[in-house]
Amino acid sequence: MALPMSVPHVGETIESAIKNQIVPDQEFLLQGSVLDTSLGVVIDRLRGLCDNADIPPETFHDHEVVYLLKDFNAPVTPGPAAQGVMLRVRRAVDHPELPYQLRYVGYPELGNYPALLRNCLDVPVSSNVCEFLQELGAKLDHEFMAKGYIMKKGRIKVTVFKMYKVGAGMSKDNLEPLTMSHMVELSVLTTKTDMSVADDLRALADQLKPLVQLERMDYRRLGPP
Amino acid sequence: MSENLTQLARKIDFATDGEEVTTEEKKEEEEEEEKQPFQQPHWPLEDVRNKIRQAFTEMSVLHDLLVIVKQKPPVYMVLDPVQAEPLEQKNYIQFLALKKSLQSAATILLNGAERLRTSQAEMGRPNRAVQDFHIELLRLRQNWRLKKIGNNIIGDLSYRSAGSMFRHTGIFEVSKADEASGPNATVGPGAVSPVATVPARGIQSSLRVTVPTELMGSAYIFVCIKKDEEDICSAQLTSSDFVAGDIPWQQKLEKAQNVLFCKELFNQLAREAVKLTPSIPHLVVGNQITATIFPGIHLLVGLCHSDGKNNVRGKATAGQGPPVVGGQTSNVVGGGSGSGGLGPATVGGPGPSKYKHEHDLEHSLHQLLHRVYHHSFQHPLPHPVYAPMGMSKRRRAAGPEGMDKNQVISLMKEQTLLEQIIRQVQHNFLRLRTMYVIDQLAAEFKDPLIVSHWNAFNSPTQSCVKINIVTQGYDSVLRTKLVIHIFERTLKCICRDGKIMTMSFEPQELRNLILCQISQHNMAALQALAKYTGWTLLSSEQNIGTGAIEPLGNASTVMLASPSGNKVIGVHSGPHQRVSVYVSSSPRPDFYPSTVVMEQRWEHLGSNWQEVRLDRMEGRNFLNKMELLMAALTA
Repeated sequence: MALPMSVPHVGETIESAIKNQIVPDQEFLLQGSVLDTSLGVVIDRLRGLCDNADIPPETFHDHEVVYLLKDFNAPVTPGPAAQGVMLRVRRAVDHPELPYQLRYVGYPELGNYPALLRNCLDVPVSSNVCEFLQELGAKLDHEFMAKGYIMKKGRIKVTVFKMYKVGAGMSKDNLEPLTMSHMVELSVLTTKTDMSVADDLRALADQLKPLVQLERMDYRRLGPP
Repeated sequence: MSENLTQLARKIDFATDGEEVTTEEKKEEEEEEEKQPFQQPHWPLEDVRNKIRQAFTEMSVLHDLLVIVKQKPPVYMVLDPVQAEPLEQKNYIQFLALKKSLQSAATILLNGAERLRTSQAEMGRPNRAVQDFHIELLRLRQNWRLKKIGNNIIGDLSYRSAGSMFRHTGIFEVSKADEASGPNATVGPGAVSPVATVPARGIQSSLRVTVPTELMGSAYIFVCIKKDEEDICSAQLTSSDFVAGDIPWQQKLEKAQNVLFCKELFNQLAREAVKLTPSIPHLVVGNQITATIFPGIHLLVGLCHSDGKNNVRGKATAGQGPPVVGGQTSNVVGGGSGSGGLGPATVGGPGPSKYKHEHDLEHSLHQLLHRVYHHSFQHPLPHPVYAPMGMSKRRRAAGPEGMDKNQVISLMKEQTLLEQIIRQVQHNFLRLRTMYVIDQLAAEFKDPLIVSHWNAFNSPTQSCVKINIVTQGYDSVLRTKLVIHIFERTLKCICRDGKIMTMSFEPQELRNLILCQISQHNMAALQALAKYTGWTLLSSEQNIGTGAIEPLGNASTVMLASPSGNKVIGVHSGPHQRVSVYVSSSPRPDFYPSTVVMEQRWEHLGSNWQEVRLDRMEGRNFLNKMELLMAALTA
């Protein structure tokens, strides 16, 4: 299939896409955690639930660096404006040839959704994005390694991973885990107009019920960092 | 307004609740009511007033009565409890009812026990007539997707869970086979059935699957290559196992699924055929698609579908007699020899069908659709995990790598099924034709021999043949080798000297090439032979400009001198001419000094060329004859 040859200007296309709300920039997210001891059970259960049950789940090893972009000289005032914008850069350690991903995650939407709904923008970027962000004035907030399994079920992305500390003298094989448990995340990207997929997400989460309690996590309740 | 109010008011009956009104009062009322119709009411609401008054009177009476009763100590009236009349005990009816309900309960229990007993007995028996429904259901569930909706069990035949996008629902229903209904029930294991006995099926299924009528029967995709109304391959269309009557559910479901698959495949092909715009447009008529692959050569793809009722819809060969229907009838009638799927490939109709079904191409088509399914499921998972899903790796890298529009478009390009199958068919056809040309030449020419080796491992769109040209008995002298790669529309020939020639699909080009190679082989082999025999090569010319003009290519010549130098052989060979050999000797035997050439030494100039009649010579082939000739001339 070829694209239509009379492609309008890119800006117009993007504008009209945004206007028609067909940009998949909304993310439904459910999170939970499981102890390392019962990880195998969860993985087996997920393999049965997800697509491609015939092949072992794919592993991933990502390095995430989070930058904070705000006016650091401004006086501290409460409110979202003072908190700045968090930009997350992720690279695949096990696939160095693939582009980096830059992600912006918005605040969770208020309302009674079956899963946590938030604005989410992903852009594939080249590997010098970190320098670019620092030039913009962003400051390194924190970084970590995430290592685990990734699966999919239809449009739903299922990740089971563990977070590791990043520091000097830590090689790829010798990582220091942050916790004794694995994180389980179900996420799906959708548009503003298509909210039906959240029910699928909820259904999948319910299938995991006794093993993992997947909930909509509200970060603001966790208190200030 | 007032009339309406009056009407409504008249309807109010204040005495409706007054059930306890004494009979006397009732009588009074009746009297009053009887009187009323005769009197004309003075004013509209008189009626109502009368009723209210009546009600008021009754209330007053009741009130007075209650007052008297409540007087303490009671003087005039006492309330006395009324003794209810004792019910007559009808014992025998009760007993009867009890007996009846007990009896019905007992029957239910007995029935259940009986069923349990029979099922137990059947479990114990090794050769049961009817298999257990639940066990069969379990077996069915192992292979098919089932779902319970209400009281029905619905199964899914579609390939949707495998990546299909076909809109057909493809559901089937599972029910328990009635023991007393249907023809299969009458055919027990021991019963002698006139027609429908299939020896392989001793055990009767207790499951019955119902597939949609449009998926009944069996179907296949018919693929053939035809020349413009001329046979390229003559064989008949074999009717595959058409379903007749009752078959086990597994087979039935598989067939239905196959029908669904074929329908989807054909649907997809037809859609693509309409959408594609080649120079010669594809034809989609009814259940067949015709595409032109080479000038005058067409690919025919048809959907053959026969439902279980002897109706063959679909292509079959248009206007070529009724090949499939013949197979059908023999299948139904000839139940004795081999019914069901065991019937032999039946020759349909009086004459053989014109077109041959290309099984390998049908298989390729199936494979292509399976690959589409596979691709729709096998998107690479995103790395890093923030990356969006359902995109190829290259497309994800398109942004950071700054691809331009053309590159992105090239990423999106995908060959349609029809294009792919046309390419395969073109290759298939070209390969067969190349094979035919080479075989024809090999049969035509025994001197030198043409030996072809086909590569057994090839791709659907590329194959390779190696051709050796040798002279029998002299294969150590020289072998001319060439390799021909066969693509979809072109041939690439690589010769031994490194020349690469690209040819079109026309068979004449290949033929010419091989003829030239034969001619060159003869010349080169002669030169190699001369070395062994000690003859000296005087000259050799690949492309000689003199002599009769060749229709294609050029003739070549070789001149050889004997070891002593007194004989010279000249050989002339062209791709389309026979080899001709001339001999000249020096000193010439017929030298007579003339007035111009007087001296004797001029006799060494060589005599006139004399042609050797090779066909009269002894020897198996050209080189053998040349060897004998050289030997004779040297002696």
